This record gives sequence, C-alpha cells and structure tokens, in this order.
Amino acid sequence: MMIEHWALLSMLLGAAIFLLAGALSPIESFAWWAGWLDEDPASFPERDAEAFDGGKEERFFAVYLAGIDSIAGDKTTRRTERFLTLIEAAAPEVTIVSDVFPYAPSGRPLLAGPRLFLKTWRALYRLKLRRRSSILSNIINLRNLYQVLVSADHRYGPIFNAGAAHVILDALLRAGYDLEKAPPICIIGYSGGGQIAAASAEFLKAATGARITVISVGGIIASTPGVAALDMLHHLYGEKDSVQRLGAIMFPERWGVFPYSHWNLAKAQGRIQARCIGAMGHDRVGGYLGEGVDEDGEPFIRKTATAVAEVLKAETAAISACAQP
Amino acid sequence: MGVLSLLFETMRFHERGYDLLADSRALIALSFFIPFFAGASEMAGQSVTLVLNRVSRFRFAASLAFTGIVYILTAFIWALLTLLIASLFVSQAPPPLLVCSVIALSFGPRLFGMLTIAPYYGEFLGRLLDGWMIACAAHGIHALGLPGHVAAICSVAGWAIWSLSRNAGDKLLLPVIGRIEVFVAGSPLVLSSRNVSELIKERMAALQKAARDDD
Repeated sequence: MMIEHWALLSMLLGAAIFLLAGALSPIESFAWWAGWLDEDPASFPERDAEAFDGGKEERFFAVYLAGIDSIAGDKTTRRTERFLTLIEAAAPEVTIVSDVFPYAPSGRPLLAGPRLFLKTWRALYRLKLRRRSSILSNIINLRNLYQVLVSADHRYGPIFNAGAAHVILDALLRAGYDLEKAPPICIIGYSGGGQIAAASAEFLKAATGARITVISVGGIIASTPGVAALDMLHHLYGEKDSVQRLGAIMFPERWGVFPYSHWNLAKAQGRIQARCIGAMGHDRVGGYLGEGVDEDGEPFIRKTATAVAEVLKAETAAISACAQP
Repeated sequence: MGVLSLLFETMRFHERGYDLLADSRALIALSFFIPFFAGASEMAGQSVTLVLNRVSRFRFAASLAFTGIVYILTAFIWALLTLLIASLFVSQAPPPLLVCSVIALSFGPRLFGMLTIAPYYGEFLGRLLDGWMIACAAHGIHALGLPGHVAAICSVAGWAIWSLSRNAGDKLLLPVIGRIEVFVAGSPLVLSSRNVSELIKERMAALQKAARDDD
C-alpha cells in the first residue's frame, strides 16, 4: 500500500515537473529578446576575416542541425561525425557547417554559462558520455523538444526562429559565406532540427536573399510561416520511423482540413517533396544514423548520407544550370 | 476553504455550488475577486506581448493587475447583459447580485490561464478554457432558474462581449481601456506576435544592407 502511494506520488511529481518545464520553456526566448542575456538580438553577425577562405564564396553551403539529443554545436556524437563525413565525401562541392546549437535562440550551448541549470546539464552530459542512465539523459531530449514546440508556436516562434536564423547565419559567415553574392543555403535538419531549419528560413531569407532549401531527415515539422519562405523542402523518411509521422498528427495545421495552411499550400505548389529512403527507424542502431543494415545489406547511416548527398548534388546541379548563360 | 469548494463545485457543473452561494453573502463578495485573479493569470500566460515590447518589471506587474480589473468590468457588463436578456424572456429576473456573482464564478476556469504560456498547445488550451468558461456561465444562469435557451443566449452574448474586450477592445469597443493600457505598460504595446516577424525581417534586411555596404 505504501509502495503504491509512493508510485502515485512519484508519477504526480513527474507530471508536475513535465508541465512546469513546458510552461517555463519559452522563458529563454523571452530573456534573449528582452536583452537580459547581455546580447543584442538586433546585432548582425560579423564575418570572421581569418576564417574566411576566399576560394569558397561560389560554393553551395549546407548547415547541419542535430536532433533533440544535441547539447552543444561542437559536441557532436561519433555517429553524427561519421554521417557528415559520408555526406562530404559524396558531395565534395558542398561546404558543410555543423557547429550550430539550434535549440537556443542565442545559440548558447547547454554546457556554456551563464545558465540556471548549467551544472545539471554538465552532469547529464557526463552521464551521456558514460552511456549511463538513459532516463536522466532523456531530460536533455525533453528540454530540446520543448524548444521545438516554442519554435512552432505562433506567439513565441518569431523571436525563437529569428534567434536561430542569427545563429545559423553567424556559423555561415564564420565558414566564409559571402553575403554579397548570397549563394544558396541548404539546411539539413535531423528530427527536431527539421522544424528549426524550416522555421528559421523566413528570417534567413530576409537576411541573405538567398535560395533556401531544407533537407529534413525524419524531421518533425509544423506548418510555420518559415515553410512559406522555403524554396524547397525535401523530407526524407524511413519506413519504420513512426516519430516523424507524429509531425503530421501533432500539428493540426498540417491536417488536410486546412488546405490554406503554410504547409498544405507549399505541398500543393510542389515545394515539399517526401521520399522514403529505406527501412530505418528514427534513432538508435536501427535509425537514420544507426549502424543497422537494410535488406540490401547497406548500413542505414550510409543510406541516409547517400540520400542527403543526392539531394545536395541535384540542388547544386540545378543552380549551376540556371547560372549558365 | 469556502471559496475553493465553491469554485470546485461550479467548475464541475454541480448545483451545490450555487446553493453555497445563495447561503453566504461573504462568498458572493469573494466571488468578485475571481475575475481579477483570472485576468492576472491570463495576462501572465499571454505575457509575450509585454516581453516583446520590453516593459519594466513594475509595469509588468501593473499590467497584470490592470487586466484583472478589466476582467471584473467585463464580468459586470456580462451580468448586466444577462439581466437585460432575461427581462425580455421571463417576468421575474433573478437577483442582480446573484447574477453578478454567478458570472464572476464562471471566470473560474480562466484561473488556469497562466498555463496558456506553454508552447504550441498553450493557444489550444486557451480555447478550451474559453469553452469551459462559457459552459460554466450557461450552467450557472440556468441554475438561477432561467430556461436553458435563455441561459445559452446570455452566455454566448457575454462571450461575445468578452472576446471583443480582449481582442479588439482598444480599437473598437473600449478606446479608453486601450489608452489606460498604454499608460500602465509605459509605452504603446505596438509589437504583437503578428507583426514582430515583419519587424525582425525588416531589421535583418537593413543590417544585411549595412553589412554589404561595409564590405
């Protein structure tokens, strides 16, 4: 009887923390916008002259936004590193930028201060590195999932997504992106990164005037105004990925009963293309970046990288063809 | 405890709540505070407008209190409207004080208005609370002895007034409220979730132009 009470109490406490975390999740965006983080949200990212490689200005740029298990832009997992290496090998004409943390409007990683729960994030990161306590390390996923919902929200989305666009543009300029020529930009968004990729396109387009394409790898994307600003959205998904299907269910504006929503209009205009790339699930070994193998014996990670590279190559080829006199 | 049980009973559509109300003048008086706290809670949930416009902490608190007062006024107008409509349909309208109290109590679900701060589903939750509030008002008016269709008309009319005061109050219905809002918040709350995107895009385009000119 006593155990039952404790179980009930723990469940109630868990539910309360879950709801409280959700209610508090927009506050980081508020603080960023209000200037409480000692950063001016209106400032424009400056190009790092030393990092700029003059030979790259004509290149096609792709920015990778990690999934919701991301803790910092420069702390990518071995799987992610391998995935990006495979893409770079298959599409060498594309410059891939990956040091972006998309789950904060300031771009400040969870491991960098000042943050209220800095010690907690560091402890969770250590647990994650030791592959211990998956329940606790799921708190990172929950925190980032809420930021995906902030990005999808009609009220908070504009400020969060403007921040994300700033962070992406900052990374692009560091990599040598030439604002004057404004070559096309592609954002590769995995899982929740897909939402932030699509939503930030609205502001990225305003800042650069460039062609913006999103490659969603099992992305969970809402019908945000950013979708209207996209030139193309390639949604790549796995046959066994039930998580990416959630996007079509949990965001009502994607339902067929709203034919004039941003998502459904883009779909009707042919700016959203979905393609099944194999029998993979959403994450872990059988996921997009997993080592599991498909029926044809090819590892899922290689299959996903090949599909992404194909889209990148098709995009660059189409743009080069258009640029020919 | 009396107010809490009163709220609990009325929010779950139990007529016992209205019996409690009829027996106690103190509860009637206390019920008038419910729209105030509902308004403050609602404003806290919708505080994005204040944050967008970067108001100070004092003015933030003042805006919460001001919304509470606007909600009390709205409840009062709603009660007057109910009495007016009731007089068209029945020969003897219920006591005005009880009608005011019932309408004030129907704002109970809006005490959860703060939860509308939650991302994405917060807006949906807000609409759910609207529905719950209207249902509480209709049930309360019916419990006072008015026929069901009259209760329905009164609650829909009241909801229309409430929606107008919330969404278009400063433009159409209550220009004075709009002016006081500006005074309380310290500046015109010109930025909203609707127009902030355009402002940011304009700024980004201007900064892009400046960055290009620097090159």
